[in-house]
Amino acid sequence: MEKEAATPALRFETHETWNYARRSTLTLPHGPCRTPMFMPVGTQGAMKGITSAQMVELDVDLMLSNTYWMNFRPGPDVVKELGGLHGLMSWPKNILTDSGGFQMVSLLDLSTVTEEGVTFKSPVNGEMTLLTPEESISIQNRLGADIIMALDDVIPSVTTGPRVLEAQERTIRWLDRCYAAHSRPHDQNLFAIVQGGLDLDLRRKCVDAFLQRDDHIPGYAIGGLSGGEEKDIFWRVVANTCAMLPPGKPRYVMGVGYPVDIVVCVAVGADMFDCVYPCRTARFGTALADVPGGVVQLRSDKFTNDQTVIDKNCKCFICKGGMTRSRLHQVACQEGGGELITYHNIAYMMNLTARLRAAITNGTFPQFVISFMKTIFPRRVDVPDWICNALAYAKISSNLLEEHYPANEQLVIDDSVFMTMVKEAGSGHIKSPYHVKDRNIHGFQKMRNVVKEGEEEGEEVPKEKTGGKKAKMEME
Amino acid sequence: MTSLAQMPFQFTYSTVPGSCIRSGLVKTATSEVPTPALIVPMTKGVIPHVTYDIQLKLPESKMLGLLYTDLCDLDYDRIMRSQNKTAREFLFPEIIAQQPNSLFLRIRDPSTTNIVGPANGKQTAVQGGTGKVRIDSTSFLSTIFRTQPCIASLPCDEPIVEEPVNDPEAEKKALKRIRKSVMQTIGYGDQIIEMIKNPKLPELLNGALTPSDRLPALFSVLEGGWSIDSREHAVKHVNRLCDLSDAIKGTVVSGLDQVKPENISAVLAPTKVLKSDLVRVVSVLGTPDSIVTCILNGMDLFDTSYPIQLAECGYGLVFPLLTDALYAALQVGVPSYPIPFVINFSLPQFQLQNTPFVTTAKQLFEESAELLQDCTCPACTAPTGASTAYIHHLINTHEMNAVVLSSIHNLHHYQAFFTHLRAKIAENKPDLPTILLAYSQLLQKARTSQEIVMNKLGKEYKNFE
Repeated sequence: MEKEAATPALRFETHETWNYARRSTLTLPHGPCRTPMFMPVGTQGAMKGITSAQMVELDVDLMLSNTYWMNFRPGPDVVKELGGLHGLMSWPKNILTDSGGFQMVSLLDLSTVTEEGVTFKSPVNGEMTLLTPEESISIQNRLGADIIMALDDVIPSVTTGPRVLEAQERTIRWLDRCYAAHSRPHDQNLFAIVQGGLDLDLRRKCVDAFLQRDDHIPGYAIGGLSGGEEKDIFWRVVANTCAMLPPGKPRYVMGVGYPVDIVVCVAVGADMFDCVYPCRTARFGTALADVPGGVVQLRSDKFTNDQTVIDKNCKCFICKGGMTRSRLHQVACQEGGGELITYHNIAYMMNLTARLRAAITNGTFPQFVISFMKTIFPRRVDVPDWICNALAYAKISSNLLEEHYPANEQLVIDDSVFMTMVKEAGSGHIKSPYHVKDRNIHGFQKMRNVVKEGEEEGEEVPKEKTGGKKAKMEME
Repeated sequence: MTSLAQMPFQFTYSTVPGSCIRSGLVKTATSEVPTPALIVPMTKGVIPHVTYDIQLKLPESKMLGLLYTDLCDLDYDRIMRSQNKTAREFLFPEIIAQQPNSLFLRIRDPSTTNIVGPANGKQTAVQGGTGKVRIDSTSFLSTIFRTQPCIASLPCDEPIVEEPVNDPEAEKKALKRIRKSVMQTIGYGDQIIEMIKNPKLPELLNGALTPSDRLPALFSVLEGGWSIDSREHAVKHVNRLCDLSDAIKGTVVSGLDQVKPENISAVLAPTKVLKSDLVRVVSVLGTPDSIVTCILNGMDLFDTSYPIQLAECGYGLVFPLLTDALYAALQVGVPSYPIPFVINFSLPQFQLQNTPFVTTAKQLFEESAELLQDCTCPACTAPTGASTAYIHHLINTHEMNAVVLSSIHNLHHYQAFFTHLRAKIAENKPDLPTILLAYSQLLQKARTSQEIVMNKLGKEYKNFE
């Protein structure tokens, strides 16, 4: 046991490390959480299609809920009267509530930000409501989660110019207001969120300001990412911020859910991750698996007669029980199909983080990461540059391509590849045919039209495109 | 006698003296199902909203209803054959395939009107997921040989024919259509029996029949709508079909959803002369009071999706089960005090009701509290059991878990309803028929005293009663 930190409602013990990667136990009021960990998102107090009992069976230590939406329905006072979120959901393990800051981006058209707070137009009834740092904390105190988040000034990650500085500075000022308003430090942990856009200098200044307040900050989050930024910048921001944060406290990268991203972020020192991606993509018929590209798009006709399971190493009852891709193709578009694939995807994410923890413990972390990357990117041409750069930084492989991929690799597209290779004009670079994105996008970006719907290959296009439906989509 | 090898199937039963009430045991190759029992509805081989790990916690799910078109859509019956798997092996993960359960394949979808015209003497047509599917004897037999369900009900023609009121001309027209559907259905049965007796069957099925295939137990369909004459006519032909082939092991009494609740007993009266060793399945009809009425008239299995559909409409079942306490109360007569039937989760009064569903019902209906039994379903059981307030919240926020949790509860409640009924039938007390009649009246009173809107969550259902 190398590092330990404790506050009234949190104890963080790091058991083993491998360079920046670390395996720790985060003990919260509702039990221990094993990190690195993935935290599934139940925005409105429910994981879509998965019951609380199933979440326990899936070995989930902590799940998320959202302050903004729970404030609308059923309201914090109702939740408090029902015994907090734990009582409402009958969820015996830990909960984290987001502050509502994310909705500044996801409901951009419906919100305005001032020094006092953020004013939202309710997507439910059209009323204007002001969410101040004090109000956000008051709501979260009543919701009763084990980890609550400070309200931050969130801007789209691709934003540049003075707005980034303004948001970073405001986030620090709001943090002080949040701590002043926090009424339950004995049983709720208020995490600070590092902002600063993609500017490493601004991130450093933000962390420096937080470190001056470190005594009463139980944990740190890295926010403002997963908004369409280039992956090569994304991992550098995570890595640099993790390096600046105190080693004895948990580090939570907000909104990260692609398995490859999680592996990279763990390698550079992050502990906690959340995203709706595994559940949302399941409802579109996409299963996560250790296969080239990392996903099995079950609605594709190519799986009509595929007798293999989604992922032969998965321990969920679907894969272990021999349900074939052929069978899942049949239900992927049906009632029941979404629930089954969601169950598998959460099981996959839990299994992935368990394997990461085991690899750190066993001292086989670099071997695991390389093996994982070679599974997802089986050929030299498939490997994105940012992966190579990140793994070099993490001291896993100084040159992934040279060390682990044959130099004279043949560019053969086999039958399993269903996307066309595209040679980018002029660059001579061949784009991978696999379904791994160059940018982090988790839904909200599409609504802001920075990336148009369907622009990225393989990106699910939401069925509901009208403005009035935005909020409904955002709810998960 | 057909020369085809048949799947193991056995039905043993006993009748309560002085009544038509039966209790029995259906033995198939893969399960033993005590009757009366619920046939658990499935869509594409999944209980709607209930994943397989939860299905495992509903041990009464021993007879699973599968829709014919779910196998035919996209040629899945051929895919199963190409993978050398039966429907059970293909559809289910090991945790379910290893459980004792049997597949009951049927044409009629209990949750909707899927039989579409025009039907003719050789084929019927049903609405499948990818369009209209025409079923003739060749396609039907090919599918059941490829997929090997334990039981397959024969094709039928089942039009929706409302009973006209004070309109002799309309009644004449309706009766004509009902009679036609009876004759069409009988015709399909005759064609299939003739075909399975044909020594050239393998050639006729063009390779769909392999030497290892066995013929599932066939259940003929008894149509006739609300016409007692037509029912009598259909019963004669079902008995004749049984004489023609020992492959007929049961009959599906269909079209009862078009019968007024008060007329169910009268319409079922002709079934008393059905061959007694046939398993009698009631299709579609699903309210608990009508089920008890059907049990009083000698019915054995019930193919309905009523509990799931109630969940989809935002209701949780809480009606009293036939416990010792209720049996004793019914010996005095049907209680005059209000009895709960469902919890309407969307009512604002439940916003702060942080109790299990049955406890909520006990608080609302204090007089009948002692008749209600606490629920032990996976959705209600602590530490992760859902409360009324939670489901209310999930419905308000349009979260799919509202339907997931209510479906689990409702299905479990229905299975418990059958378990208690079987236990009381097994006790075989002399006043059982009287008590069951009173129980049916109590359930009908409870159901009709609460407003149940069957389109609450965006779906509209018809034809339950």
